[in-house]
Amino acid sequence: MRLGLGSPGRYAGPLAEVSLSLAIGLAAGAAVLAGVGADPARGIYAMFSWALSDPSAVLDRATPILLTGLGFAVAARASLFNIGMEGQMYLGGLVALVVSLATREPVLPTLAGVAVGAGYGALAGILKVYRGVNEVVSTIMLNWIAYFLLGYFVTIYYPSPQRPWRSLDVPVTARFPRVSELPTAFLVAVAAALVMLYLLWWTSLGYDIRAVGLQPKAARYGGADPRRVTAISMALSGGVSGLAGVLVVLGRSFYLDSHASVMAGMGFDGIGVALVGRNHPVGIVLSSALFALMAVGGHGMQLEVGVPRELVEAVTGVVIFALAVPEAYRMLASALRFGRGAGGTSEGGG
Amino acid sequence: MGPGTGPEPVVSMEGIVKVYRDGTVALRGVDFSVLPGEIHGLLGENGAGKTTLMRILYGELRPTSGRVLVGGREASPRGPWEALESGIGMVHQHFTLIPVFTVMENLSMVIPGGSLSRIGDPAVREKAEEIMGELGLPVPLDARVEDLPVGIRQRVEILKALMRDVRVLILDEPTSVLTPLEVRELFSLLGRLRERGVTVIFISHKLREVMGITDRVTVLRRGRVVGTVRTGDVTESDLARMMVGREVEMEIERRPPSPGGVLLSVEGLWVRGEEGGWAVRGVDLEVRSGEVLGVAGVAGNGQRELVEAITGLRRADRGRVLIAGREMTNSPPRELYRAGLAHVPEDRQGVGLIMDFSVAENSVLGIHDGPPFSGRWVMRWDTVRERAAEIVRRFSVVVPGLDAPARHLSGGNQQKLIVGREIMKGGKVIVADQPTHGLDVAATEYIRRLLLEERDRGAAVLLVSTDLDEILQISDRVVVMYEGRIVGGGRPEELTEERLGLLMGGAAG
Amino acid sequence: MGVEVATLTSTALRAMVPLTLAAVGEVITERSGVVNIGLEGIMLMSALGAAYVSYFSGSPYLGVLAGVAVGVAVGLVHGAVSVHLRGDQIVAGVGVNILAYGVAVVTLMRVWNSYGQSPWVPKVPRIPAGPLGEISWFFPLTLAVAAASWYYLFRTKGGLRLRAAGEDPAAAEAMGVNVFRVRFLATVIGAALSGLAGAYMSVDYVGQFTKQMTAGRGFIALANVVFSNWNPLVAVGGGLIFGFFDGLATYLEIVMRSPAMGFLLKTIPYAATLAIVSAAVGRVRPPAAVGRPYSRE
Repeated sequence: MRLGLGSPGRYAGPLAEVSLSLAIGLAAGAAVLAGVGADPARGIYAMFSWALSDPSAVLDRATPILLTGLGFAVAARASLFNIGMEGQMYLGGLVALVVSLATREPVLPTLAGVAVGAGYGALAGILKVYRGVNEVVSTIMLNWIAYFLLGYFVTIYYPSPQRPWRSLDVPVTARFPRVSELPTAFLVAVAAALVMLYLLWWTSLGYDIRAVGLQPKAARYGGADPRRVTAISMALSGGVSGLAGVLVVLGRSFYLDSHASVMAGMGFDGIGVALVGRNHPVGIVLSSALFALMAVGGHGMQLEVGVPRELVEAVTGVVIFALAVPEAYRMLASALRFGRGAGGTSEGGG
Repeated sequence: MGPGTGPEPVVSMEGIVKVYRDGTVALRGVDFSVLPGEIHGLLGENGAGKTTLMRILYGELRPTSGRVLVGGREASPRGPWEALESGIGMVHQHFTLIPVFTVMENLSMVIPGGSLSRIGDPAVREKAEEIMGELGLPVPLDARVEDLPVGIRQRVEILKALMRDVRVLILDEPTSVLTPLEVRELFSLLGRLRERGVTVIFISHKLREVMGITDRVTVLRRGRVVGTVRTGDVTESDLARMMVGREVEMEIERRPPSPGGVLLSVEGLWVRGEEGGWAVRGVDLEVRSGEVLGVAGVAGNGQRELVEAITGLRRADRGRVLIAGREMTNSPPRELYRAGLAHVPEDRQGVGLIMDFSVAENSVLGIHDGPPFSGRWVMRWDTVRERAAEIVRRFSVVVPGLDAPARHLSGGNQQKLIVGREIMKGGKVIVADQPTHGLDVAATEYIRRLLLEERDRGAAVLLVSTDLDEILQISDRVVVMYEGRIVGGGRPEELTEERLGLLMGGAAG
Repeated sequence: MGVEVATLTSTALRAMVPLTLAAVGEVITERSGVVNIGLEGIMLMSALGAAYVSYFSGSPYLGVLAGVAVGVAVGLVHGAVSVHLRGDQIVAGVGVNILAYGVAVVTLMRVWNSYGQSPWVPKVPRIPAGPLGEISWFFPLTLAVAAASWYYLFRTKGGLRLRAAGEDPAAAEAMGVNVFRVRFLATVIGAALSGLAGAYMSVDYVGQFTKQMTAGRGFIALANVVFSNWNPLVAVGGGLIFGFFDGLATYLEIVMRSPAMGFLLKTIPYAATLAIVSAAVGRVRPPAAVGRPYSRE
């Protein structure tokens, strides 16, 4: 616990579950490739070789999903199922764009984007605390509202004169630079992961967040106010998700379009990233790199074997689905350990 | 009594072994049989395996090995529906009624019938009324179960089993929620059932009840059968020895109290329960330094709500709570802890510990937010670990390590961790709610001693317990709660069990 | 004005069908104690399956069957995961939603070589309905499904057992209910109704498949479940209200002819859903054991 972590043995189980889920997902993907007459080996090879030939693209791609993954995780640690990272990210990106047009530097737009994302996340938290609205429903509604608000502002207030479906460009002075090939935006995202790690395991707020997530009644006994903690963790979640949008706009695309296509889906990707990363900041950094690899490599696969890169989404869905059933792996493991007869019954321990 | 020497057993279980998936061995090869028309006691301490054995008979659990015979034929049930089919019914300690359904709806649940058949069949109602008439078992059929008192709910449970014409009725600790008067009514009902030829299996850990009602008794200890005896052939202390495996006379030496100033006082407290009605109706209490005040009563008479209101977990609507003279009514838990309150909650796994937190993290639950265990924001893990190590050492908590999750501790050690943590707060007031419930004898004795030591140190201890022995053993004063009020009390040496029983049943003013 | 009211009404009636069908299905599922937040994904994949079969067979009816079959298939998997493997039902539901999007695009590309939509597919014919123009067969069907579900849940023995499984599975089992089987079947049936809703989207409502065609309707249906207080008949009312705002947005967009305002108008159904649910929650009582996997201790 000094490291907030514990003995290495504690990781064996989760690691096996994650690996198995990834394997199941890849197998499903390979089966689809084979099913449509493409060579799975060639497709997968194309995916990885394409991605590895362009590491900075992978880091660019990893940046937002690392953050939305953190966003999902910090809410999940408080036992909240925030799937509103998408909308929180849109608003973060939109606000960063708008503010950067005025300030022509990156700091204030970043802070503003984070703040608005946090506010949007907190809104869902407050609706849950005071109105009992389930966050799954509220955040999806808020996602769509954010999506259309973004379209509205981009096309009405800040359209590019040449290309009206696009916004004006972020001033060059407000962009996150690249140091040789390394995008500084990625470093900001990694720093956010470290901050989150520290916050969750080295602060009393983190203690409260984790306590509320595990056992709200015990947390209340332990002096935490579950309502306050719910609102705070939703705000934190929205804040990092907002930062995801900021970093896409100021770090890579430098504009927005009315369909948010420069970042569409990256909020939802955060769910898979977080689940594969076991809602742990270190795991999330690693899994975001893996997901980015698959996403970037998807282009290569599409070019090489002609299967759309959205196959990656399907694979992600299968991986998440597989991750939902750790019990299945435990049963499998105990069946392997004890041979037939054991582990097959359906009752838990007393 | 083996086969051939008497009537054929109506049900028998042979060589039952049950190993739970987490490796806990609950039953280690149990043979058990009951004869038609008897009341058969199943006696044992908590954790002896009584309930597990009966849940296997009722099809809720499957044995790891062994078989069940009904009427001489193998019939290991795969689920309760099969057990009911073969005439075996069970009334659980925690009722298995759907609270939002009416009594009739609950009864119709157990009547076989196609999925598409309409509910509200008049034949079901007629049958229910017939059984109620025959056995003198009145129940309001159209009331919602959640609106009924516990004693009536138990009748619904029994009625429900009888609706299926069961020949064997298992009752798991049926008296634990009843007042003495209700217990008497239950026993006379069981007698009438026996007259109708129903076999009753009566699970209990209370010697007196087993002596009073059963024909034969099987005693379980740590997953094994110690023996089956005719109740008439043994004495209470014979059974006690079989149950515990040694002579136990739990005597805790108690120094005479030396009460000082009032540290906890509760004035005219009114608190609402889960359903919105009044659970606590104007309670006044005072606990002095160096004294244990025991609050006795049957479970569900407002004790939980009283404790929660004092400890900041539930709003009090009227009245005041003072700690060491300071008004602390409806203060949040953290402020109460700072004011010197320690709280050993009733539900140790749901409230007292965070099961997936480590021993170290749990050792500061409630005081983690502030010096010395954290600064304004940052946890001081070294200080936390020192505290955890101290608790483990001083209170002999057996732990795999300070980083092990609390889940991995045994029930007794979990409770020692909680009690240790609360004592280490060094508070002025200790509220202990069912502090030894479900613990083995050694842990029980240890925790009671600790509470007395705290008293001697000068703390005010409020002990809330449904265990009369516990109340009488360590309290300096006793009050009895009934329907949200304090209905009486006195010094333990002045109170007879009978007097307490009457108070707990609401039958004395 | 009369014409406008009629237009608005028929728009709302058409929009209510998927919101109600999916919600009624989910009411059945949740009453048994299982949550399926994968409605959106099921609807999307069913819409795709229905469009595919309708396109290649020429029969929209076969398309509808295909949509239901897709729902059943997902329901079988979700049921197995939620009930028998005691998986995390929410996570599994999210998996379905994400999977569906990938499947949709991959299939569109492979089959129709299009990135966003299918060609027009044969639609289910409509019934003429006087001033409302014509209405879909699905409208009376939806009412019938809701009524039948209500009757089953609240008037039959099977419904009693199903609700018991969702209130207190341990008690239900002790009363002889096979909780695992009841929950599994309720999950499959619920998913089948979402499949029906999805089929309606492609082979009736729109007449083609587009990759974003469900547009959060699966989640609005979830909101409708809460609004209905887990009652299929109230879910019809909820479907009409939510459908009204959906229809209103479409209608205002056509009337106002301003693409800019279009963006804002499109937020109406979502904002309305949020507002309605915020007002409704607190007065409703979910099944006590919903979303919690049952295991015997």
